[in-house]
Amino acid sequence: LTLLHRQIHPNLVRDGRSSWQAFKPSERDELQLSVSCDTKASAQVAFERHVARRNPKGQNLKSFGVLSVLRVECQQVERAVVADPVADDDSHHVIDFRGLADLEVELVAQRLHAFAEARGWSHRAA
Amino acid sequence: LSQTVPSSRSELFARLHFEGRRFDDHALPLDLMGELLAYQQAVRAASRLVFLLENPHRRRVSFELFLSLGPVRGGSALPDINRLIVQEVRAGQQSLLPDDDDDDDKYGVLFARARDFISKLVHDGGESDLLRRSLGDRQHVGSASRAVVSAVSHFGQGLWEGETLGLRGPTSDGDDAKLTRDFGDAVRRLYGSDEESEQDETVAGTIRASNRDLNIYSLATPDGGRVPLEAPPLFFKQLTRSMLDDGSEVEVRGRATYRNGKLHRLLAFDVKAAVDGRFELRRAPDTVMSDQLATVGSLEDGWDDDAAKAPLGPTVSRAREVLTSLMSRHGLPCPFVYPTFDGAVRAEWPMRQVNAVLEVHADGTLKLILVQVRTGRGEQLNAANADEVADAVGRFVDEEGRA
Repeated sequence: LTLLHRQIHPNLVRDGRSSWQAFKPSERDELQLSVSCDTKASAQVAFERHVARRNPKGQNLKSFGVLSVLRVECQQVERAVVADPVADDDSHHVIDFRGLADLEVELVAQRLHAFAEARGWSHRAA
Repeated sequence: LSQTVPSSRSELFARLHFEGRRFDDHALPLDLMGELLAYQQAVRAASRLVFLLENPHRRRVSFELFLSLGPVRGGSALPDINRLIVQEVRAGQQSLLPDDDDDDDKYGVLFARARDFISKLVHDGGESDLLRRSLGDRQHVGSASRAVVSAVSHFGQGLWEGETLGLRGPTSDGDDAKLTRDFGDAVRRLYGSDEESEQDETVAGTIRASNRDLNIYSLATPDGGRVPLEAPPLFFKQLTRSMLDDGSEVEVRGRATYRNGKLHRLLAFDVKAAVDGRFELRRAPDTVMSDQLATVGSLEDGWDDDAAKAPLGPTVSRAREVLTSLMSRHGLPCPFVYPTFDGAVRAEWPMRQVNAVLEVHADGTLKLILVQVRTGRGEQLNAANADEVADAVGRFVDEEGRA
């Protein structure tokens, strides 16, 4: 059972709970949700890699913490998980939301979020 | 069925003598137009008061005073104030009184007495036995005298430190009366006024439960005062029972309304009380939502460390308006409010039966998504106004209520 780790931006967290938008890919991401595969990077390693990166302004990226879903849970919502290694991160995968209508994207995001929330934070910023 | 209209005839009524360095160039700053308006209001109100005192059987007046600004003379800013002679016109008739009829100006003497009353009031630093007695009247005389107090309490507001405003009659060489910027405060101290002011502050006191079932409480303050304690919808329900016990010591942060300088009522944002030996804080849903919206409104483009757009001010304002309306109408709890990547504001209510999300977009349109927790089935409603989503929200609130 492989976990897929998702970095949660602090602006999407209140009182320790995240919004389901955290699992909703944007149009900009071409409806592919970035995650890190646990076989290549644990939640903590994925977190550390993320916050070590810099945005175009030269600032470190932010993450409140890591929520995780199982690959099998993605199958339950009929979403493919595809390896998509990038230069500084061989753990990078995407959960593919392409082909879904607007409402379906919301429903899948909500279910994935519910799976992850039930599991609790895999890693949190110190 | 009668009305008064100004004619083209006028007479010198008074001179307002502004003294101070600002007026050395013989010009009158526009900031001081309020003084001229306040003067007209004061003499108008005084003319009504004098008329009603002299005609106790009358409840209304059928005249009006119209003043106009004449030339500003040299020496300092000394504008002439002219009074326009009015004609009384009855419905359907041109004029009952010809322009050259002496009786045309039948209220001229009354207005002159009103002017002199105001000058004397200023000369005496706002003191007037007549005014004080009249304020006690519960009928139209009391109302007219309150109008005088209200008008003269605005005197001096446009003046700076060290400047004076002198009031002169048409035949006076010197000032009959002179006032400074403190005059309005003096009047308010002498007579009070119905003017209210509001500010956010924290008030400590003791809860007095007048009617717990109807959520009617007051706050007894340490100075012996007692003010009604108000709260946004549902807030009292969020407070623990012990917080609202009669005699509970609390600290309330909220919008304080002062009337005549005294705390008049308090709308609670937060209530803090010692419960079981430690302080507990409860915050009103509106306050929590406001704080979240303020955070969302302060974001800049790229808030997600990437290319996300920040919600613009009008979008945040629209979200505030819609969410406040929904919360108040359906008794919803405070949602989790956050930005979307494309500059919308999103509010999320995770509930037992239904998860609801409302998006407020930059173009003002709304998107409501309702998801059944048990089945995962959902529905989406795109709407142009809050009323359209309110019914759908009502349904989900009903489902939650049944659960």
